[in-house]
Amino acid sequence: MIDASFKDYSAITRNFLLVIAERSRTTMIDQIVDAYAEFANLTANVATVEVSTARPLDADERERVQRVMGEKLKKMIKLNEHVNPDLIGGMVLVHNDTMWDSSLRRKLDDAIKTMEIKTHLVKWTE
Amino acid sequence: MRIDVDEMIGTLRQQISNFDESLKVEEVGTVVEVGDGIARIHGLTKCMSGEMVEFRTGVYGLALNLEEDNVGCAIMGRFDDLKEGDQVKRTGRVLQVPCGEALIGRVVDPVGRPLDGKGPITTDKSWPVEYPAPGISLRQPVKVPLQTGIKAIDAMIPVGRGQRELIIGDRKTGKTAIAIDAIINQKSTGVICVYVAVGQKESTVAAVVKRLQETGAMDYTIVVSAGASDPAPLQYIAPYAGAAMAEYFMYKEGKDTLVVYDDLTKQAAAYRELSLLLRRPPGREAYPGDVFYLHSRLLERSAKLAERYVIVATSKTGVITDKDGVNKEIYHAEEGPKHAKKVLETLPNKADLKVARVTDSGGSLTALPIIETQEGEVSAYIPTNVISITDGQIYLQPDLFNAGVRPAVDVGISVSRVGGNAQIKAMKKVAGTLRLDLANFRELEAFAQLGTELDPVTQRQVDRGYRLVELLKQPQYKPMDTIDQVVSVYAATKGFMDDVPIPRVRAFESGLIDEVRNAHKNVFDALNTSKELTNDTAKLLDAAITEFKRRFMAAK
Repeated sequence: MIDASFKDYSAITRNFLLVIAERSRTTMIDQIVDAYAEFANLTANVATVEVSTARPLDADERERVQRVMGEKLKKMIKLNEHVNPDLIGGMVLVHNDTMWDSSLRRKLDDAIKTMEIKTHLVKWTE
Repeated sequence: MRIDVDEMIGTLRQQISNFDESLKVEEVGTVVEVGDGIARIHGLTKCMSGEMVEFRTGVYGLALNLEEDNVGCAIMGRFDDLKEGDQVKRTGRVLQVPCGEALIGRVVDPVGRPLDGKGPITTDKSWPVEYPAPGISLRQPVKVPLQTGIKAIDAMIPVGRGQRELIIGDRKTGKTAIAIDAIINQKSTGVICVYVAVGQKESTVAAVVKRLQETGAMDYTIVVSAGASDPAPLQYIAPYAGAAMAEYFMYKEGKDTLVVYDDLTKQAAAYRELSLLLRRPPGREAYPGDVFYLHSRLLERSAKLAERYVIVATSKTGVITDKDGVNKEIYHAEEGPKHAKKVLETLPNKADLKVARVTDSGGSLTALPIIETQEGEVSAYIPTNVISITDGQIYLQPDLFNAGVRPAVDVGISVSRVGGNAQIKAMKKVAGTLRLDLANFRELEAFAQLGTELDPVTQRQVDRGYRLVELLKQPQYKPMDTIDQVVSVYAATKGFMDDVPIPRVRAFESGLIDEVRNAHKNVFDALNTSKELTNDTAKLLDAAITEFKRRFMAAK
């Protein structure tokens, strides 16, 4: 059955799937795919960056983000784009554990937080 | 709420003018599991142990478990609106609490938020909740007494400034009462008190606060409360937060402080809950392996700090800091002044110089941890741990409590390992035989109760014992002045009370104290200024007591 449904794939892929089926590890396919993607990206020097913006990116912006992030991370950049109107403006980039946040939402939140601290006159945080 | 309009406008201006330049780089992770006050977070690979993390809702968490692919956090606040997939940010700082004068007289939670409805706490000072205990060179031996105002304790189980004295006993034996009396007695001594309530009913804490207010003790007291309904992480950090607030006064202002941890049994239970939820392996009584360290690192923070001395110009007065030393040297502890004097002699302009104590040095932190036992079981895990860490224990017995001996201190098994060093000389002198007399009495009491015919010597000892027990009874919230204690204990141990009928012992005591304070002011003053009981003073005191007794016995 695997041979039939995956006949367009290479022999190695088909054999791999057969091995998995034989050892009854088909439930782990998802994890294998994720791990493979990560491994492939590493080998090919590709980094995934999550981009969130208030409205969809146009081609020019997409190119600029890719270029800037590429220089920063010294890698080819693959973008995962998300549209989140909550951000109001600006953009949020996430790569691994690091987040670059220039969204209007965050700036307003920060401003509110400072005002709250000032109005409560609690300045001991640092 | 008071809002400073000018300040508001200033802040707004600043915010607006800086608005555009801010690109914030942050380290983030995602919540993979949340519940029971614990969150597991994926990511945050650079997170430090004990670091604060911020959840989407603005609630803070404390990173406790750093594992290979996740971080286990205790959530310091409401966790019911957090969900899987939420973003979590690192803050890069460890947990701190506000501290300083602004907290005095306030009731706060373990992260320093006010609970008393008296408005916000205005202070720019803070202190880390987890702070390392001072090392050997920073300390000096405990030698200054901390008067609790309770006769049984000050006479036989003295507590010194910087000591850790455990109060242990079953429920309802008056443990908290002793601690509260000790706080009340610190009035006009300059000692800053911190009362930490862990896992207690809010109503109990409210009653304590009310009592402290009524007696004027809130003027120098901070109450830290993590109630029974607060999440385990808050109950776990409450004692450390209380210690941090006291440490600020000890380190930065050179003040003496007293911290009551009420009680550490509940804190240990909260920590057990936290540890089990973090999947740390359970040990004895299901407590985690580091439950000893939990209490030892807390109680080690109690200290009597060494005084520091510097060489300064003779004209220098007022506040003296470490930097004022003309030769940039600081001399520590008891040997400090001697050493500094020697160095001073070698300096060229020695006539214009003097040795002075650094103003903020020599503070202390005295701890009165409380442990609740079950059915007098002191060999349970937590009681044995804390007994071994502290410098002595005050043991409270339900039998004594029910027999009307209050405070129900069992003087036979209560000890203070710092002992006589922390007593004024007069008290040391008069209390010397008190312990012995009571021990003899306990041995003979059983015989006496059997109704056996006793020889006159034994009978005298028994009679003396009954009167001593009666004398050591003391009502709650009535701490007693040290000199008064000396007078009353002296009268009892010298046998002046032996023929006073037992029900009249306390009347005799209060009458005698009034007499000495008013009619024999010279004796009282002599004791109060020298803190010593010289032979001359003793003779005067003998005469005063004899005279008072004659009148007292005649006035039946």
